[in-house]
This record gives sequence, structure tokens and C-alpha cells, in this order.
Amino acid sequence: MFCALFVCTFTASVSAQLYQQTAEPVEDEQGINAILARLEVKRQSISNFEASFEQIKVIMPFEETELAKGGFWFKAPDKVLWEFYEPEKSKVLVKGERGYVIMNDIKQVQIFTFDKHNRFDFLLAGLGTPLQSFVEDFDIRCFTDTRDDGLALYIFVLTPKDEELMGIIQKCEITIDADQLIPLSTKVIEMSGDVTRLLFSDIRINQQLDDEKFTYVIPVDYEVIDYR
Amino acid sequence: MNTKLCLPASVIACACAVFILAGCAPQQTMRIADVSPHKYPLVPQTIELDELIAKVDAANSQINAFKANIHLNFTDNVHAQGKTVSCGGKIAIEKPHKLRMYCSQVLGGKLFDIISNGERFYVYSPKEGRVLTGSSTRPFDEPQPVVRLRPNDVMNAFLLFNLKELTDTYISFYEYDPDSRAYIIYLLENQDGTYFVYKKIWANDLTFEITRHQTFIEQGLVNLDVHILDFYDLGDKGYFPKRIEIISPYRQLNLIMEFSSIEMNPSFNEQVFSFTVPENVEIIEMD
Repeated sequence: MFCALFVCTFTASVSAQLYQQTAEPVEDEQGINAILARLEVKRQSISNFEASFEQIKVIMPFEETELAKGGFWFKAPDKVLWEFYEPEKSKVLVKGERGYVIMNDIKQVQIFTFDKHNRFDFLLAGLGTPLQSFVEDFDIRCFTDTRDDGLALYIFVLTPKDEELMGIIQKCEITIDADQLIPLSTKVIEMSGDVTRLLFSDIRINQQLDDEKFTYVIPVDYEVIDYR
Repeated sequence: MNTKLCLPASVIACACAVFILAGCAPQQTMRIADVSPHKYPLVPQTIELDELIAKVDAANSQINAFKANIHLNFTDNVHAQGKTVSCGGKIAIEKPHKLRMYCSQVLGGKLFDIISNGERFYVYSPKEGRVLTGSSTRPFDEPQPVVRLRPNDVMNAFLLFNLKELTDTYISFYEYDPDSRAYIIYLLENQDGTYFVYKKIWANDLTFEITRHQTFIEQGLVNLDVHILDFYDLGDKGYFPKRIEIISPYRQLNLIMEFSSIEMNPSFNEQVFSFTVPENVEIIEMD
């Protein structure tokens, strides 16, 4: 009961924090392109990005909200680690085009190819992936907004125009700190209605981050499922 | 101190007879049965079929509905060359024919969503932009190239059946298998005077947990071979499967399901077992 109340309260507070229904669209293409160009300059200056994250997933048919917490590390150009601390301990490691889903609870590792066809590469928008790269497959709209604490935001709303994507995703929202030009959150609404929101906090940029963080050896007693 | 051995005359006579007979036959070495000294009785008690059925029904959780998190490994040897797909999601079941099961992959979104509202089922594959639909209660009768799993297959794996009801419908008998230390209950159906095995059920001889059950198609082939690999002990509510392996030799697929966070007999809202076909998807009628 307490957990359910906590999740509801947390979700409501996060929603309120991020969206005040005061978003103003950036209508002119030049304006959007100027913002994208600034973001790209910033993106290229980010060599390391570390943060805590909270993932809130709303599963429609069951009307349930799942909360997960963990740590996130990015090292340019293409190393990424999501480490989930709760509710289950698991990791997602990406090195270039190779990705691993490591599920320690069930001793299983899944190996997959992380590329454009993965269709969830916008999770790295503004870090490993330039926002401009989504223009081909998505209609991109940009909004400006202000958070309760006064922080200025850019909110990019990506709506798929690629037929295959249209069957999977309704839209994706990427929220950027308009001052620091770094990603703060991503929200994905799938065609099924499921909503996944990933929020970063305690963000640290360009601090020492060893390659060892992204090193992984599959234990011999783990089941390996290779999707490549 | 001397110890005097006293034996009744009848025992001595029997022993002599045994010695005499043994002398006539080739010498044999008698091996002591290799059994666990604690867990199992050496010889199962003789049990009447009705009593066995009652014990099995009492031991295995008689649930009307449940909800659980699910982790699933699926191997299709025909269409995916034996490759395994792994995903996680949620399952909800309400007797007799309502089912909702969806599965997502990390960074891959929803892989499938299966709904059975009691009358019709829908298998929605967002990545393929396809919805398969058919009767919830129609038995599987021919291999379809696009679907390898019907919702009833999943329902049948969860021990939601009441054995007493089945034995009232089908001709039944049992035998004891000392190797698996299980009672095997056979359910037969009569088709135009010929008897076919419809279902075989293995029940542990001590705990009466159902550890395995097989269903057959008319040609005598095994349709589903379900192994319950681990259990949750729910106390008064009996045992509930923790890990299930479903093998379909007929369809050459293998499915391993692992359950956690189980909620027994929850109340579901209607939305859980309802489905609206999304726009821009191909609809394939299965019946």
C-alpha cells in the first residue's frame, strides 16, 4: 500500500515537475535548427556523462506503475552502461554496435546489435546520438518550457513517420536543460499505450571514467542468448 | 557373556526352504535398493483412484485467478532455427478462458501481447504489425505458419484444471512409476469405440504435487509436455508452479516460464482482458 502510494505520489510530482502545461512551440524551422546546432556543439564536447536515473513505466492494461532505479554512464563515442539497482539487479551494456543485457538474477546474458534498427536509440539522444539524426524517421517538434524550480527546458517531441516505427511507437519526448544543453529525461509512448519515462539526476559531466567500467566477461555458468 | 539365539520353528523352516531352493537356482547377488533414507517411503501405499484424485487436487493450488511477473524463454525450432528469444512481462489468468500475457525486451519494446477474453483470443505483435485472432476455446488442429502458440496452450500449462472434474468426464486409471516416484494418472477419451490417451499426469508420491503433464492430439502424438520444475509452497493453498517448461514436439517449440510476485485471486478490471485492434495492423483470422 505504501509502495503504491509512494509510486503514485512520485509519479505525480515528477509529472508536475517536468510539465507545467505552459510549453510554447518553437514554430520557425530556423529557430529549431539553431537549437539543434547548439545541442550538437555541446554533445560533441561531452566525453563522459554520469547520472543516477529513475525509470517509471506505466503498463496500460494492468494500470500499474513500475519504478526502477539505477546508475547511468556514457563515455564518448559509444560506450554506455545502464545499471539497475532495483527492483531487480540487471545491466545493459553497449559498446559500439554490440549490446549486452545482463540479468544476474536468472544468470542470463542477451547479446544484441545496438544500431538504428534497434528503434530505441533515442535513449541516447543528445549523448551518443545527435538529435538531427532522427529527422529522417521522425517529425520533430520543439517546445520551450520552464520547470517549477525555474529551470528552462527544451522539449523535443518525436513522432514517427517511418511505417515500421509507427506500429511500435506513438511518440517520444526528449527534455533538455536549455541552459546546460544536456538531456534530463526521455519519455516513450508505445503504440500499446505503455509509457516509459527515464529521468536523470545527480548529473556529472566530463569527470574521470575508466574504460574498466564498460568491461564485462560473461560468467561460464550464464545462459547466453545471441540475437545478432 | 553368551547370547542364546532363539528362533521360532516356522522361521527356521522357511529359512531352510529358501536355502534349499537357492541351492537349486544359479547364485544371485541381491542389491539393496538405493533410496533416500528420509524423504520417501520405500513402497508407496496402495491408494484408490478416487483418494489419489482428491489428494492431488488438494495439494495443487486450486486457483480461479492469478497475476504474476513472468520471465520467458521461447525457442522455435522450425521458424527461428532453434534460436531462443527471452523477454519479461506480466501474466493474468482468470478461469476458465481469460488470459492476458505480454512480454517486452530491454531496449526493444513490447514483443507480444496475448489476450483471451473468454470468447476470442488476440495475439498482437507490434514489431510485425500483426494481430492473430481466433476462438478462445477452439482446440489446436493444424499447424499455422504464423503462430506457434495458442492462448489455450498457456492456460493448460498452469494446472488450472480440476482433476476430479476431468476424471468425471474421461475414463481414468493410474499406475505407479518407481523410477520417477510418481503416480501417473491416465485420462482416456472414447472416439467411435477407440480409446485414445487425452492426458497423462504425474503426481509426486509423497507430496502429490503435479510435476508433469502431457496432452495428446488425436493421432497419439504428444501435443504439449509440461514439466513443473520448481514450486512455491503456499501453505494451505497448496503448491503453485514457480518454473514451467512447455515442450511441444508436434510444433517443435520450447517455452520456459518463470513466475515471481504472484498474486492469487486478484480482482481484475475488464480492461485487462479486453483488446482493441490498433490501426494500421494486419489482422489474420486463425479459425
